Amino acid sequence: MKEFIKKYWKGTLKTVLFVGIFLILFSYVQDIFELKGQGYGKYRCFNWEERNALNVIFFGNSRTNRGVNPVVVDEIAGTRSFNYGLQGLRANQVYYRVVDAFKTQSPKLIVLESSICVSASARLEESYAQRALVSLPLSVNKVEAALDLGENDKKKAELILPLLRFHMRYRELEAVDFRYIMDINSEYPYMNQPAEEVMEVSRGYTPYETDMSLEDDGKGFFDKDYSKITKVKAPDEKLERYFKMIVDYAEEHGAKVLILSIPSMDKKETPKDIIPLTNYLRQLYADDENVAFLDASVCMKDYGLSYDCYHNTGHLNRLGAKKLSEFIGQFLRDNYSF
Amino acid sequence: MSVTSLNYFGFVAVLLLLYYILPKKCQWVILLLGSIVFYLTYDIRYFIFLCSSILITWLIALFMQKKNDRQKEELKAEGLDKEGKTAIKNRYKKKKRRLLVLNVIILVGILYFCKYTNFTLDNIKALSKLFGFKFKKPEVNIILPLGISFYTFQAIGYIVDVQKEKVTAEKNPLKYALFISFFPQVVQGPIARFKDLAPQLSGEHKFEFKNLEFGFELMLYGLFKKLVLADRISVIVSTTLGNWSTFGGFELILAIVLYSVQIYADFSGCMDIITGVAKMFGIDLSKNFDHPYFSKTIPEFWRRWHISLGTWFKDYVFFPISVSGWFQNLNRKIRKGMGAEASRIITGIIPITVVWFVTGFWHGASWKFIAWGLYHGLLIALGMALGPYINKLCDKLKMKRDCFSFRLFQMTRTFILCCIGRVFFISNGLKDGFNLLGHIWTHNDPWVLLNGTLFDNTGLDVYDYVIVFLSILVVWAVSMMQERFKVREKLSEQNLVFRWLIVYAAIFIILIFGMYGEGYVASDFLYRDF
Repeated sequence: MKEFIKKYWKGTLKTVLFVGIFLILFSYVQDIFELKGQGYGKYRCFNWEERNALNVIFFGNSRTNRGVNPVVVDEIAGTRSFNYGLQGLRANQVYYRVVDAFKTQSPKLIVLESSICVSASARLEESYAQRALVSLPLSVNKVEAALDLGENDKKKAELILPLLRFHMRYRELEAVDFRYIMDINSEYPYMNQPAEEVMEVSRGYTPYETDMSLEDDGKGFFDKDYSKITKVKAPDEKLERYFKMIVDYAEEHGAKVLILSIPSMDKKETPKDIIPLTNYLRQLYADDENVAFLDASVCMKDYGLSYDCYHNTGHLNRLGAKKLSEFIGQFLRDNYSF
Repeated sequence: MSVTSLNYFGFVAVLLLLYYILPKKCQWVILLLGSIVFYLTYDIRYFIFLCSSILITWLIALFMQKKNDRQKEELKAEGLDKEGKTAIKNRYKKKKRRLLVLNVIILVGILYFCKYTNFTLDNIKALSKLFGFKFKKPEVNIILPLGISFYTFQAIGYIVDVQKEKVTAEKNPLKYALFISFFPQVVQGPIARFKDLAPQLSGEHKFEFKNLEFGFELMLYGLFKKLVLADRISVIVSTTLGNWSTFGGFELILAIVLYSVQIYADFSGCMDIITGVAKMFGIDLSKNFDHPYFSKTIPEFWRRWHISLGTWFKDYVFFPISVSGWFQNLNRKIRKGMGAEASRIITGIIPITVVWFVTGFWHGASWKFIAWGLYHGLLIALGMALGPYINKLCDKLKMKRDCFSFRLFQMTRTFILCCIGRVFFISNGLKDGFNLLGHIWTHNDPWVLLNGTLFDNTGLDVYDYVIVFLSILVVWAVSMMQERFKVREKLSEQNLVFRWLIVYAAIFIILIFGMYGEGYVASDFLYRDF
């Protein structure tokens, strides 16, 4: 081996240099081509936070993304939190985001939305996987996630190296795609605004601004007493396994877990899926003192949720998010010290 | 495992690592194991066919080698006069010929069975119908082992070379197996000769950066041709020629011209990848393409296109026919009866017709391929017959032949003739090919080239057309340079920064503009099916 190195050190050095430069160029080119969707901006915003500055991180899907405003939560609870909800994500995808989040932050609490245990259709799994990994730098976690979440070899490779998927975007590149490499210090735009401007007013929260009254659609939804629902529904084996992995991972890293159910105004979803699933998780973690529950689907009247708090049947609007966030903030203030 | 897939590159990287880390004695074993793994990734049934072919040819070659050795020993015996030596040679020649015929029948039989059974049955059915017989075609579903046309020809070339004592038969069956199944070229050639490839495969190769660098650069160029150019054009070709009756003549002409570019970029691109990979292992494969579209005549085109197949036919079909006893007799008779000129033409045409019939048939089990082959045979025969008269005519007209404009005319003419042949190559049958030509003739719409409808109808947008145009320019410029000097060696003489810039640019052009990934099913290499 020594002889080999002695003989070939120049060539080896050149090769290493060549590959190194290539990887740097590749990462820049990949950044340009990667689709600048929700997950992309949110990840950049997350990284904009100072290391270990976050006490609370909310993980979930679009219900969290649209339903929790960390700025409101923080004002009441006196903490600094971040909304890491990403549309569609399920427990198996959230797990890898959680692992990545703990690399730069050491939150005292992670809030997990219970509906990440509701099974997603196989058709959507692939796009959720892509969203779960978007813009994550190449790491062991990312490779593991890609190998786990990718449908086939081709998809796995595309999840690890998004350029393989998005290279055809050369037709549609805009100035915004080049922003990061043009000015390395500026953050990626989020909601069409630079992250630093958005962060202090949103911290990952993406509001729905429209206040549409859905009384006709959800007739009688708020009149029911959901606390009577004792039905228990287990998630599918895979999602339960990943949910447990998330909880274990958080606990191993010194964080407590709060399981949060966010109500959907869908007449079937809340009573048939969200509440029974949360009931199951409550049973599962009955003996774990590090895991607490905030069943916001049951006590909607307590924090004043009404028809005009919804943007659509599945998602809260800004008003709804404010009410839910105040409710969460009070719960955190009463039960945790940050 | 496609040679443009990430799996393939990963596979090559691992193999390279083992190849150079493990003792040099083991290098050929690594290559053999790699070749087995590579071939097994397709279908285990293919592997059984490959093994049968290897085993049979290896055994027969060994028998033949024994005959060669015995013949040599007997010829060494003292007191043998010329007649005695001739008698011994003739005796062994017959024995060896029997073995050769047996081997060729088996190999061609397997190939014929797999590739041409359905074609034969279809033709029997058609003939039965014509003559009023009833023939119910049995349902046969026979697999076509990958690369069988290539490795069968390689094996036949080997056994003929052993028979002619050009090479000594390989005693080690595994080394012979490697010669037939060497993974970079087993699927699409080039069809290698034993004397060229086998010593390299079983030899020891020390690690050299130059081999890696040259191989990598060649691979990149091949990937550029395949992924950026050929696969992009394939969209236009499949959209238009796949449904030609709805398109106008000019769109179809454009598609046929682009198809000629596609098939070149596809096949030569694949060869560059294959040759580049082999080069990384320190193995030089024979050249299969030599800028065929710069050819001034059809024979020259075929000396530059799929060279290994052309030389194979020349050495193992054309020459054996030309020097055979019955053919010499025929030659003498024609010369005696019809004169030297007629003899030159007729005796030239016969082996050409045979060679081009077989060439067409080799490409596929369809009359369209046979027609395509015979079309080229006809062009070559016409060139042979009329060539001297055309030259005389040019002399009389005082037409300059040694100038750029005439060469350009010749190259354009050759390209157009090739394009016409390609119509049969891509059509759905012989009749379909003629109908397509007729449609082009009767549907003239030159305005589509100017009014923008081209970009709406042919499956690609204006960006793609620009990329196609620029890529053709790049391939043309590189080909021009290759005609004059060795590009990779010239590049290696340049400063490091310049070299790396070129390589980085190539990598990113392929990564960005290559046709692969989401929403795109990469076309298989066109020649993989032959």
